[in-house]
Amino acid sequence: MVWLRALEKAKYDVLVLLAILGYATYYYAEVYAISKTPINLLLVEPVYWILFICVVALIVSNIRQARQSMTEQTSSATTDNEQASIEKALARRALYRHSASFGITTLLYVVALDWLGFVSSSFLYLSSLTFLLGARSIWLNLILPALVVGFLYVSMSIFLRFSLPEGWLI
Amino acid sequence: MSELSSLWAGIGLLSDWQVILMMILGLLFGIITGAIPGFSTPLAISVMLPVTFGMESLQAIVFLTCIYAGGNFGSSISAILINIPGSPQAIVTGLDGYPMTRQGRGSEALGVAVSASAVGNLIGAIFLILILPLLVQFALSFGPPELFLVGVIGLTIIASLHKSFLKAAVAGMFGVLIGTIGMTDTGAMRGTWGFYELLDGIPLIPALIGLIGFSELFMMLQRTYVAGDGAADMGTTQTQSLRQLLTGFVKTFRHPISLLRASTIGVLIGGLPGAGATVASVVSYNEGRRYSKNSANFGKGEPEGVINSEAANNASEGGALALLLSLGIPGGLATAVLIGGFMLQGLVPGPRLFMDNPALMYGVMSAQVFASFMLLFFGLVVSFYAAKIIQVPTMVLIPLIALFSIVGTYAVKLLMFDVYIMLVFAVIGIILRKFDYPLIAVILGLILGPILDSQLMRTYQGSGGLSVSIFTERPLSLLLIGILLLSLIPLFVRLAREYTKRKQHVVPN
Repeated sequence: MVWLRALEKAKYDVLVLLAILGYATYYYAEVYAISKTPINLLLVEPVYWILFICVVALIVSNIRQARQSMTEQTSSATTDNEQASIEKALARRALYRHSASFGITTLLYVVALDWLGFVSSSFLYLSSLTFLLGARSIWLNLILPALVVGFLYVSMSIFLRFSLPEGWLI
Repeated sequence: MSELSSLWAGIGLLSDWQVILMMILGLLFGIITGAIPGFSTPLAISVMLPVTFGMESLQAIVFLTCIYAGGNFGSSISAILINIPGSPQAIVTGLDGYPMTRQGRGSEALGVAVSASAVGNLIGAIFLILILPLLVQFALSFGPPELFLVGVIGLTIIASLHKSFLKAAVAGMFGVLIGTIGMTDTGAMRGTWGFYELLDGIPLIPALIGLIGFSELFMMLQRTYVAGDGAADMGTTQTQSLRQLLTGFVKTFRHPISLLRASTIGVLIGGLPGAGATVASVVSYNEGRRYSKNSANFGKGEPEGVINSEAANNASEGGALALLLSLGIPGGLATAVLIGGFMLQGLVPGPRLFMDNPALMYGVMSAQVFASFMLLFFGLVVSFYAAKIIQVPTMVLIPLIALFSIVGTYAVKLLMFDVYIMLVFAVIGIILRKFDYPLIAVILGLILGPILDSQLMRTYQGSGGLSVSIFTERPLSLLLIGILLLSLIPLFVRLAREYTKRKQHVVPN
């Protein structure tokens, strides 16, 4: 039961390791299937098995560490200040909000590049992201993005003659 | 004679005003970004990689190596002023630099750092010019088995990259595996998922920008300023007088022995795979303290401490570049990213690069000498003003860097596919950072994986199979096996120590 609780505690570390091992196994199986001669597996095979051993060892090590920290936690009583923990939770929530804003806006921007075009999508990306991250001024939300996008467009499209993505707009 | 004529030809290439302009821009960019905590030198180089695409080879490489030189110095600015090193190599600089700032001598410490960095960089560059031709001659006698072994030696760096050997090994082996994606020499396609863009393997530059640059932006979200709360204190230190800066600048030259010793240590350690600027500065600082008359003041604001750290971490660049240019092995993350810059120009670091383009290579090396003198001037100027950049809030900095990264990645091949790859690697980078895996191990694997794979295949094809005798019958291979075993000794010692420590920890319980 202690081991199961330790596994529960180390579940995210173990999940990351299993994801790495899962991809490596898929890759190894794919190369193994296409290899009529051992030549394509010369490096992949030993590397895969080293990775396999290291992942297994690391999973065991993570669970052992989780178990040890559980034992230490039970022996020393923790008295967390309630106010401090509320502040910590609020800070964490703000961080999640910012991370989600950044991730989603960036994904939308990459999709919009081909759809709207470089200039308009880049301007929208910069102004919306600065706004979502907390900037509230015309200078930071409108003028700076316009200047930066203008600079990029002139330097890349006109001077370096790169063909930037084009869409409905420019 | 031909070496001398190549050297002159290389120096002649530097007379082009565009090359000089690129040197100045590279130094300035390196120093300024180096001063921003979290904006490490590899990140600065990776952000600028796509910009070099349209440049001529010499301009591009000189630009990137000058960012490297500038970044090595720039990271000391924030270490001295707010005790937050811009990059790990400046940690030791802060030990004496920050106490000097607290004593009201911040500008003096910056002046010491500028001159010590420039001298260290100069000694490293001279070493590079003198030793590289010899190293290349040696490396040219390498066949596929030797090149494979060199790759394996390069991989042993991974062991020293993290406190947990297992995490470093997992990250490194994962990197090697994804480094082998693409079409093999035999025409087989591995792990491409049907994307023809992956036939040449994972595109290195988008992967680097995603892993290092973009994932770092997510970490920056946790801070209001890049420099954290310390940014608020910058205003007062910026008003330090120019006179103090010049006093410190001159003071460095009153310690010639320390300068020479630190630079030599830096060059030698910089040339060791995996050791890098941070180890060089730590070793140099310890040696400096051992031999200094003022050893009791080390850690309390002793300028000699700053000299020992800065001269060594800047000189290490010469050693690291020698390793990269002669054998194609990146000694650290910055030189790993530099490989991307060479590849963008169609150049592959290694002995052939030097044989095929001697004038270009001497041009790159000579540029480092000139960059050292430029660093003296621009270092002083930027030291005076750089602090303002640290005060730029992340809510402005993050969108700008993100936009430049995306546009830069696209600009390399004008492919949106590269942008998607960059984002995929950004996600991998964020996860690996979050769970404390060393990103450089993945990158080393990504770079060394294709080399190991192709050299092993050639060894196999050349000898009609694989056996230990292929490696043991060749004297050079035997030598490399010896070096490999030697480089593994510290790993075994470390593992044994960890095991003993764990045993001791368990027994009392």
